[in-house]
Amino acid sequence: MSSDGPEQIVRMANDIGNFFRAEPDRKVALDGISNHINKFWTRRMRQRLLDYVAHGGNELDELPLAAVKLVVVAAAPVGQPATPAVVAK
Amino acid sequence: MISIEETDLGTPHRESEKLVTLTIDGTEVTVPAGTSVMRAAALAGTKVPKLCATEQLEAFGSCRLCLVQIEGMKGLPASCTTLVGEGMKVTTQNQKIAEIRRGVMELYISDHPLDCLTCPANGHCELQEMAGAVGLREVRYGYEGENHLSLGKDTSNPYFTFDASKCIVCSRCVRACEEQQGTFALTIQGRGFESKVSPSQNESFMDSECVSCGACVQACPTATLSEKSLIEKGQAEHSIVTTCAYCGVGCSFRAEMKGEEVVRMVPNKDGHANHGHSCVKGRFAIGYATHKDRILKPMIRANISDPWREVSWEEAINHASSEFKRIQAKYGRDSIGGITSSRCSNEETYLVQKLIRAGFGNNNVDTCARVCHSPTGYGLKQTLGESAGTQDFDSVMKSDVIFVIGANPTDGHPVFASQMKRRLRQGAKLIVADPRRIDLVKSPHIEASYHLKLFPGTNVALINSLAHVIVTEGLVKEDFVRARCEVDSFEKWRDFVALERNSPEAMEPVTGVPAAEIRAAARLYATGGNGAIYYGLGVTEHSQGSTMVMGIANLAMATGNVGREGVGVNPLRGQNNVQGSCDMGSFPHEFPGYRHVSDNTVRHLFETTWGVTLQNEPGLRIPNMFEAALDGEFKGLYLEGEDIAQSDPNTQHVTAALSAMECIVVQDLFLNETAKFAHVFLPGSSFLEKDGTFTNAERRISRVRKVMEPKSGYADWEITQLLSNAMGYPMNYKHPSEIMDEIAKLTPTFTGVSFKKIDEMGSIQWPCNDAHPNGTPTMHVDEFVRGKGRFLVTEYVPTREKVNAKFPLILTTGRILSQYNVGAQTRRTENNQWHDEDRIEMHPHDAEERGIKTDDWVGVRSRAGETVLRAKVSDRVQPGVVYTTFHFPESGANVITTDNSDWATNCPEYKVTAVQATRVSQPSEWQKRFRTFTETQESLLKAAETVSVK
Repeated sequence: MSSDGPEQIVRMANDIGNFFRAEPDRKVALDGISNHINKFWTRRMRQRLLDYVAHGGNELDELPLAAVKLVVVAAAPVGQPATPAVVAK
Repeated sequence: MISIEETDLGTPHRESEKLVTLTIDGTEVTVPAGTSVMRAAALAGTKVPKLCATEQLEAFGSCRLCLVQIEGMKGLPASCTTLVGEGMKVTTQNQKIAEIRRGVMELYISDHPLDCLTCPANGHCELQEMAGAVGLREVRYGYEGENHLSLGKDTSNPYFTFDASKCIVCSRCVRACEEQQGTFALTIQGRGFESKVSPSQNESFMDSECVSCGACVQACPTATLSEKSLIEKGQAEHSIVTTCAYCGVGCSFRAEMKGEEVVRMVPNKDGHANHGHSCVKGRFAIGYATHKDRILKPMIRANISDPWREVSWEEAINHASSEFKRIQAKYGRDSIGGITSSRCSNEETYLVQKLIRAGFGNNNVDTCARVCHSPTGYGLKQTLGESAGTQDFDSVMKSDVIFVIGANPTDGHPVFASQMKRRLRQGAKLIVADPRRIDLVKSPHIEASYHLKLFPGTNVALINSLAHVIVTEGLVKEDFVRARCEVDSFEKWRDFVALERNSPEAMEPVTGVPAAEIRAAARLYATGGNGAIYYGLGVTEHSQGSTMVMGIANLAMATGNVGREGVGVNPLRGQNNVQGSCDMGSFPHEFPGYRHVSDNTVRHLFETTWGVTLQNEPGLRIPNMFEAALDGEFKGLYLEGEDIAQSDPNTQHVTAALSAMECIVVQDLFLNETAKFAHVFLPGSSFLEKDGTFTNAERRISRVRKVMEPKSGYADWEITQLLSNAMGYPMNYKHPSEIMDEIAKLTPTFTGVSFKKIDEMGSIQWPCNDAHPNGTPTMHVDEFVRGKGRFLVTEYVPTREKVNAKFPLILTTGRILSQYNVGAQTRRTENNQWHDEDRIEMHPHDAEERGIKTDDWVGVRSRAGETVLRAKVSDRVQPGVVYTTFHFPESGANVITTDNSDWATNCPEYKVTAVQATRVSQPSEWQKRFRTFTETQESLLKAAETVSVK
């Protein structure tokens, strides 16, 4: 199973969501999930998550799904051609 | 025998603020209270003759050689057992004392072989020295009486010999085995003339409980216990202090040399981590460094089905660099990367991550910590603010309650375990949380107050239930928490663990641990005095590894057990430099010093120093590299010292990924499992050929000093530098000290570190900077690194890896004392005599159900794959749990482990795999394929060597 295919991405996001599910403050939970994804996932992995949601993927749990709105895929890393910042709607 | 270059002061050092001044032979000397007269005399420059006393052991007072005269005291007291007194007047030598000493030596020599000239201890024998010191000129008893000269030798141990004919029954070996090692394998059997040293019940050393640590050999004042290498090679002529390359204790050794040949490795009594002790691996198992399997010439091949071709360094480096450039041109900048290991020094790791960031232009760099303590780095950073343990090893001597969770220190960190056992024998209490009955639970003079025998995969349930007791029974150290921690995070956590679902009673069906035991253990930890938690991979290698680390930190903070000696959160980092490889930023998301690659200020600092623009996005972790390889997007890999084809989970997945790559460059000592998939082999160096530093589990940076030139012609750091220059990113270091100077310049926790300072101090525990110029033994003393400690809510989430009718058992994995990790080093030494294959340990109930007996071949099948191992029926594991080690590649332990991993770090869940076990009569399909593949690869290697000979 590819760790970047939709199934794996969803599993990983749900696992992160499971940790933050116990956090009573929803904003803290959402920030926690999105910060983790932004800090530790590669661009490719984050983009695939955004694409999964954009194309109607529905296996994400409620909390990580809500956190996806805060996941950022900014302009390309330095040294590569710049692309506009892409942020999930 | 102690090292050729060490002085033995007779009795141990004593710490005391109170000082005592006395006069010895007319000279005034001031020493700490509690010091022996013998030691005080030695410090004053007077060597009082001795045979049963040695600095590493408590005084014994049996040989009667060290008698002195003390004004006002009756008779002639033994100076080893007499403590200094204020104003004491000591005479170490007069006519009466001299006669007594000569008499004692006459008795010893009357029953001792007179073969000094051909004896292995010749020139470095304490008995010989004492005979000279007392002026022995004759033995009036003669040599015709009954004696022990015809007693034979015990040569059963592969590393040392016991020659009973030379034994003077000083008991040093017995005491060393008790006090230093804590195994109690030796005793003195019989009385008077019949007294003799007896391993266990008068067995051979090899059959006894001896763990071959070498403490007895070290302690022996004669040639009775001698290293076989010393017997073969003779006395060394110089020694070099270096650091062991096995486990995370990081023992300091003196490599005793004749030219560039190692005669023996002797633990350095001034070693800050090990204080003169060692284990079988560091002490004796160094033969791998000169093993015939060592590959010493660079090799290349186009495909892994081709024979290897030995080439020059220039051709190998140019080929590797041109391949990497070709791959990047075709597949993109992110299509190559690198992996370091704990075999690399700090300087070597730093250079590899620099090459990848500055030379490859991406952050695709990772290290062995991915598969072991990456959750420690994550969890402790979140809670305490720093990705490392909080104490030094000596802290355990001030612990009152020692809580060992998911660790097996007697096997994985033996020298530290010996120190821990010493504290336990002094009366500290022990709690063990482990699915297996590890040796520490019950061993000589030690018994755990509680063995919480939880079911694998339920760590967080356990830690939450312990926390529930502490919170609901009013055992929180409120003043500590209010002063030192974020109060709102504490209150959130407190309300969470207080929920009924986290109670021991509610969690008992989950963990399998009786509620009453959890309650009692929690109370003990919280109220028993200084409570210290030591944990290992039984915590981290789980899908909730990071969660559990945070849970441990929560517990320590809630009970005020952080920020002073005797307490703390102590991850037992398993490898010699895994801490260092993390510190050096061999991570896809962090620069050296644990700073994120997206941090513009930090990145700019590195860009300015390195003269290149750096990527600000996290790169690929090791598991991501495999996935990207299988997707056709990751095609080139540079590995230094890491054998992912054996050490990483789901072997078939890993080898499929390796097969999908176009250029794998392996820098290592041997043709390991990963090298069988490689296209370039760069011969690396053992620790005996390295100059640099290692950082152990205490954050202690120690020097590793080469005792011989690199056999391949280049040091490992030089090879990385060659590759970097060929890739177009210039590196011009002349010496590893320059690399450390650069590290210090760029890393706030290392600013005070330099080779010069390490040489002066012996070792340094980071942080070492202006705030802590002499390093930091204990962290978080006045405040946490992040300011206030942070509690995190740790909900128990069961693992996905479920048992069912098809896979009804849980497999967990671990280590054994004599072999080390993937076994690349120890399998090439005599340590195979203790453990020559991995076995599946199974409870008698489970074995009986399946008709399995010890030594039967057992097929072990999981959702990932199948392998075959021989059985060992044992009640050390509980029903429903099986256990194996992973030291032999052909056992395929990782063929059956799965891709499940920690949610935060992707650390593999090695400790929880659902399996079925059945009696079989032939190897698994994987093992048959492995055997064929291995034979093929070995023949392809032989082809290269054959061409070279021609």
